[in-house]
Amino acid sequence: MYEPDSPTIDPAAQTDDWPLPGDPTILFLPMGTDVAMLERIDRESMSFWQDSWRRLRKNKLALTGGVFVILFTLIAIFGPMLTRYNPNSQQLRLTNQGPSATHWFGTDQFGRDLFTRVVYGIRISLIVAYVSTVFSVAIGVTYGTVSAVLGGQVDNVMMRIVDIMMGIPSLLYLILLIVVLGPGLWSIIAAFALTGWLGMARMVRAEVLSLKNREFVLASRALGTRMRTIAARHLVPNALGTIIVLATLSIPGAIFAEAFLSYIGLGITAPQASLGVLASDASDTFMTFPHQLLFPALAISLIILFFNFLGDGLRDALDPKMKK
Amino acid sequence: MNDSTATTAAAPLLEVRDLVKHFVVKRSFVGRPLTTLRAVDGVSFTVNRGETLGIVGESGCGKTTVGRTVIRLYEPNSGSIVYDGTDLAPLTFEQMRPFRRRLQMIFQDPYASLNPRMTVTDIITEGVRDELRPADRKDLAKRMLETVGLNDDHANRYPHEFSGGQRQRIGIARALAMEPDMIICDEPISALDVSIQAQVVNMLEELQQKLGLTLVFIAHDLSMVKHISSRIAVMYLGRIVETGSSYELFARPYHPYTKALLSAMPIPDPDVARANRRIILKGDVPSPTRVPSGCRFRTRCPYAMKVCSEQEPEFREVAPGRFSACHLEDGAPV
Repeated sequence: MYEPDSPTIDPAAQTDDWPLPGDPTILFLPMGTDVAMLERIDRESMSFWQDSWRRLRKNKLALTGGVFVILFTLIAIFGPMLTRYNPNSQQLRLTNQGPSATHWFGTDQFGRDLFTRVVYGIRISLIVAYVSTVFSVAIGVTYGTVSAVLGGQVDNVMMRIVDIMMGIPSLLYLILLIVVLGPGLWSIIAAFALTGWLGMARMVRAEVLSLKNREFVLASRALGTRMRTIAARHLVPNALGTIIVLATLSIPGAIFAEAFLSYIGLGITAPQASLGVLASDASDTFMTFPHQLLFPALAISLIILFFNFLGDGLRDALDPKMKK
Repeated sequence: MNDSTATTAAAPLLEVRDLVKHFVVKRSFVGRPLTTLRAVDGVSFTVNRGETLGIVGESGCGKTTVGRTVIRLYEPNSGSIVYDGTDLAPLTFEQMRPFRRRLQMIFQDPYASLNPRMTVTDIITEGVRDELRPADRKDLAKRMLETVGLNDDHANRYPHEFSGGQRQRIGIARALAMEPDMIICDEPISALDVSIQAQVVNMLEELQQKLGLTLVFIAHDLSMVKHISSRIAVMYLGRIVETGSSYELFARPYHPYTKALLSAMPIPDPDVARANRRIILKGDVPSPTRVPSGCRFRTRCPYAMKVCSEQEPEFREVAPGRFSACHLEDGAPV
C-alpha cells in the first residue's frame, strides 16, 4: 500500500510531555503517523439531498409553506370526509346563508354548502396544477435534454420552435386550445401541459448545456458510456434541483391561470367547480354576500402564497449559489 | 490490423501521426467556418510499452487537446492514432468502446471530474457497471480504493467530502478499475497543493511499476515531468517542437523554445540560480486562431532569421533519438 512521507514524531517526546487521550482539559493531540488515520473522515456522510433537507429545515418560511402545501393537498384528497354535504345538492330554502355552525362557510345562491364547494374546489384546482405540472415537466425535461445533448443544428431548430411558441401569448394559445378541445377538466390540464413545458425546456437545456462540458461527463464518456446513459445518469440528476424548484414555482401560476380561465368562463364546467369558478360565481353578488367571494379567494391566495414560500425555500436549499 | 508492421515486441504501444484537431470558434450565418482555432496542428509521437512520455508546454499550446483527441473524446480532423496495431482515428463511438478498457484517462480538475451526486463506489465502477453484479462492484471498488490508499469507509461517501488529493486518487481508481494498459494523465497534479502533488506522482509511479502501465503525462510543471517521464515532448502552439529522453532533453536542449522553457525553471540552489542565464521571451504566445507563417515560434524566437517566416522547419532527427523542428541548426545545438 502507498504510504506518504510525513514527519515522524519522536516517541520519547510524546510519552512524558503529552497528556493521555481522554483528558478533558486537552483539546488537541498530535495525530501521529498512522496512514489510515490520515485518510479518515470524521464528518458523517451526507448526500446532496440530505444536505439540502438540512438547509431547507433551517428556513422557517419555507417549512411553513411546505407544511401548508401538504395540508392543502391532504384537504384535496380527504376533504370530502370532513363534510356531510354533497357539493352539488341544492337546498333552495337555504340560499345565500351566512357562515353558521351547520354551514361553516355559509351557502351559495342555490343553497349548496360553501365549505364543501371550497374543499372540492381545492381538489379540482390542485389536480389541474399537479397533473399539468407533471406533464409539462416530463415534456420539458425530455425536450430540453435532447436539444442540449444533440446540440448543433438540431438544438438550433428545436430551440427556435420553442421561441416561436413562446412568442404567441400563452393566454391566446390556452383559449384557442380550450375552444378546440372544449371546456372541461382534462382540456384545461392538456392546455396547461402544452404551454407550460416551454419554460421548463429552456431552463433544462441551459442547465444540461453547462453540465455537458463538465469533466465528469468527459470522464464517463472516456469510460465508454453512451450519451443516452450519460443523460440519465449524469445530466438529469444534476439538473434535478433546478427542475424541482421550477416545477414548484410553476404550480401557483397554473392555479392562478386556471382560476382566471374559469373566471372568464373557459374553465371547469358546472356543476364541477374549481376555486376560480366559485370566485367567479360569487363576484356577481359580492356586495351583498361578501363571504361567498371571501372563502374561495382566500383559498386561492393562501395556496399560491404557500407554494411560493416553499419554492423560494427549495431554491435556496437546492441551489445555494442562487440565494439572494 | 492486417498491416505488415503489426504488433511486434518492439512496436510502440501508441503511435500518433500528423494528428490535427481544429475547433471552429465562429461560423457565418450559413454555417461556414469563419475562425478556426488550430489547437493541435500536425502532432506526431510514439509511446513505447511501459514508458512514461511527458508532454509539456504553456497553457493553451494544445497539450490537453492532444490527450483528449488520442482517447477520442474529440473527433480528430485528420491523422492517425495507432494503438497496439489498430488505428483509432476512424472508429465510431461504438467501435471505440472495447478500446476504452485499455486506454484510460485521469483528468485535470479533481473537483469537476467526479459527479457530485454519485457515491464513490458508483464513480469507480461506472465503466464496468453493466458487466458486474452489485456485490462484485462493491468488491471491485473496495480493492481499487485500497490500491490508491483509501479505505472502504470511503466507499459510500460523496465526492464533496474528500480533499483534492483524495478526489484525484478516486479519479485514478476509476481509471484503474478498467484495468487499462495505458493511462493519459491530463495535468493530474496542477490543481493540487505541492505536498499532495508529490504524493500523487509517487503513487502513479508506483502503480506504473506494479501494474506495468504505460503513461502519457501531460503537465506544465517541468520538474515534475522530468521526475516522472522517461521521454519528453515539448509542445508550442499546436505542434511538438522537440522530443528526447528526459535526461538528454534537460541536459542538452536543441530548440530555442525548449531552452527558454528550461531556463525558466526555478533552481533550488541560489548560487547555481545566479549563475544561470534566464532567457526571457518577448511578447505573448500568438493566438492559435492566427498561427504565424513559417516557424510558429519565430515571433518570439531570439534567433529568428528570414527563412523562419518563409519556411516551416522540418521536424527531424538532429541527434540519435533527438528530434527538433528548427532552422537554426542542422544537428548542431546553438
